[in-house]
Amino acid sequence: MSVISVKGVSKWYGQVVAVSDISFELEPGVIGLLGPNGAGKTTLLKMLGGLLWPSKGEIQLFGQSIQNNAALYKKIGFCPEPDALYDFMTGQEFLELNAELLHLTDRKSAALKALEFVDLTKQKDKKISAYSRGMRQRTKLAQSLLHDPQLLLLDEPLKGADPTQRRAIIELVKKLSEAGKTVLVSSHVLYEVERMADSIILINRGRLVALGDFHAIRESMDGKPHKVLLNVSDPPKFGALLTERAVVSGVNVSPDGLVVEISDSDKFYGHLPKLAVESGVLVRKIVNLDDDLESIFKYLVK
Amino acid sequence: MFSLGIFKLGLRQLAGEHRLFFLFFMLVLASLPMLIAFIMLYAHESRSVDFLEASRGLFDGLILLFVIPVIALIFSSAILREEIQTQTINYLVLKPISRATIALSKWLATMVLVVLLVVYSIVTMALVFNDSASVGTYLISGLLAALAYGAFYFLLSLLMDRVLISGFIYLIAWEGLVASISQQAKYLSIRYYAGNVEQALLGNLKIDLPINTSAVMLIAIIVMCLLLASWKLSKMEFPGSSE
Repeated sequence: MSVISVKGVSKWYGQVVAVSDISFELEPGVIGLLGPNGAGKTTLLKMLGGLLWPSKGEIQLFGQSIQNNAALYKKIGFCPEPDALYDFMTGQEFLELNAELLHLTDRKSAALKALEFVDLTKQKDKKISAYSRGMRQRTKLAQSLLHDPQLLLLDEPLKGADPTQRRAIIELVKKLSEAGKTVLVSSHVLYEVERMADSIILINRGRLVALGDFHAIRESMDGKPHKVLLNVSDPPKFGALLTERAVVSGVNVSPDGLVVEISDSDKFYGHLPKLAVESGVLVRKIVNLDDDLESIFKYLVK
Repeated sequence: MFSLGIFKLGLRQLAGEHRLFFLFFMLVLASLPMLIAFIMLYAHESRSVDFLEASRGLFDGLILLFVIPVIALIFSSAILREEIQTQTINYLVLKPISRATIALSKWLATMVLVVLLVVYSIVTMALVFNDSASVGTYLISGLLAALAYGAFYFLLSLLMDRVLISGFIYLIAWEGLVASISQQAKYLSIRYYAGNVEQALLGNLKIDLPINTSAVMLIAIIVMCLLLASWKLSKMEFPGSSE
C-alpha cells in the first residue's frame, strides 16, 4: 500500500483547470514537488491535505480517502504556505493549542520539543505578531511536527527563511526521511529541493511533467541536447575532432575546458575513449553540466 | 461534538486583550437600554414615568429590536468568517476533529459572550426601572432570540462573504419592513417568535401563537441553522489565495 495514491485527479474552478489528470503513487522518502508559479503545486498539496476536493479522480492516503475522515490527520502534518498564524498568541501557546487539537496528552512537552526542533525555544514566550518572517515559517513547520506524523505535506517551507534557517530546515527534512517518514515538499527553489529530495514530481500548467529520481529523469531525456564539460590537454584540437566526427552538435572553449553539446549520449560516450587515443589528447575530467535540477526543470517545462 | 481547545480559542479571538476596543464598543451597545432608561428617569422626573411601561417599551423597541440582533450579528459573523479569510482555519480543519465539532464549539464560544452581554443589557435596564417582575420574561425571550439570531447569522457567515451587510438587510428590510406588513412573512422572522414568547409570558392573551409553538419554532431555528452550518463547513473547500 502506497502512502499517497493519486489516480486521475483533476481540479477545476469554472473554466479554469488548476490540475489536470494527474496520477502517481509515493512511498516513504523526501519527494520534491516542483513547478513554476501557478503550476498547480499548492492546489495539489491542498487536495492531498483535504483542504480542496478533486473535481475528478481519487486521492488516498494510507489506503483511505481524506474526505470527511478527520481521524487520518493523526498521521498527517501539514505546513501551509500562507503566512497566517494567531498573532495574539505566543509561539508556545500556539503550539500547545495545536497539540490539544491533536489530542496529545502532554501538550506542553510536545510544544517545547517542537520549538526546540525549529530553534525557537528562546522566543517561545514572545507574541507571534513580533516574530520575523523566518520565525513565523518555523512556527508553522513546528505545528506540523508536533504529533510525529507519518506523512508531512510542506508547502514552500523554506519561504522567508534566512540561509542558516534554510540549511536547518533542509537538515530537518533529511532527518525525517531517515526516520522513515514520507515528506512531500513543494518549492520553486530548485537547488534546495535537490539538496533534500530523493525524487521529484514536476508539474507545469496543472499537468504532470516528470516523476521519479531526477538523475533517472535526466537520463531518460536522451535525444534532447545537454552540455558536458571536458577537461582535456588540448581543447581546440579535441573540439575540432569531435565536430569533424559529428559526435557532438556544438563545441565551445571555456576557461574550465571544452564545453560540448551532445544529443546522443551513447554515441558520445562510446566514441570518446577511441577519439582520445587516436588524437593523443589527455581527458582529465568529464562533468555533466546539465545533471542538476535546474537544467532538468528547464528542459521539461519547455 | 465539542472541543474545549476550539471553544477557548473562540473566546480569546473575540474577547482577548487584542480586542479591547471592540469589546468596549459592544459594552456600550449593550449599555444603551440602561443609559436611555437613566435619561428617561432624569428628563421626566422619576415620578411621571410608568416604570413598567417604560421597561417594556425599551425591551420591545430597543433590546429585542436592535441590541440583541446586532450583538449576535457582530459576534457570530466574525467567528469563522475571519478564520476563513485569514486562512488560520487550516490549523483547525487539518486536525483529527470533525468539522461539525469545530462549528459547534465556535458557535458556543460566541454565544457565551452574546448571552453575557444580553443578560447585562436586560438586567441593568430592569434595575434602573426597578422592574423585577418582568426581568425573568425578558431574559427568557431575549436569550431565546439571542441564540436564534446567533445561529442564523453563524450560518449566514458560512454562506456568504459580506455577512454584516446581509445581516443588516435581513434585520432592517425583512424583519423591520416586510415582516411587519406581510402576514406570511412574519412567520419567517425571529423577532416575531421571540416577541410572542415575551407577550405570552407577560400574560397577554391577544397573541397569534401559543407560547409552546413560538418557543419550539425558535429552538427549531437554532437546531436547523446549526445543522446546516455544520453541513456547510463539512463540505467547504479552502482554496485561499491562488498560487
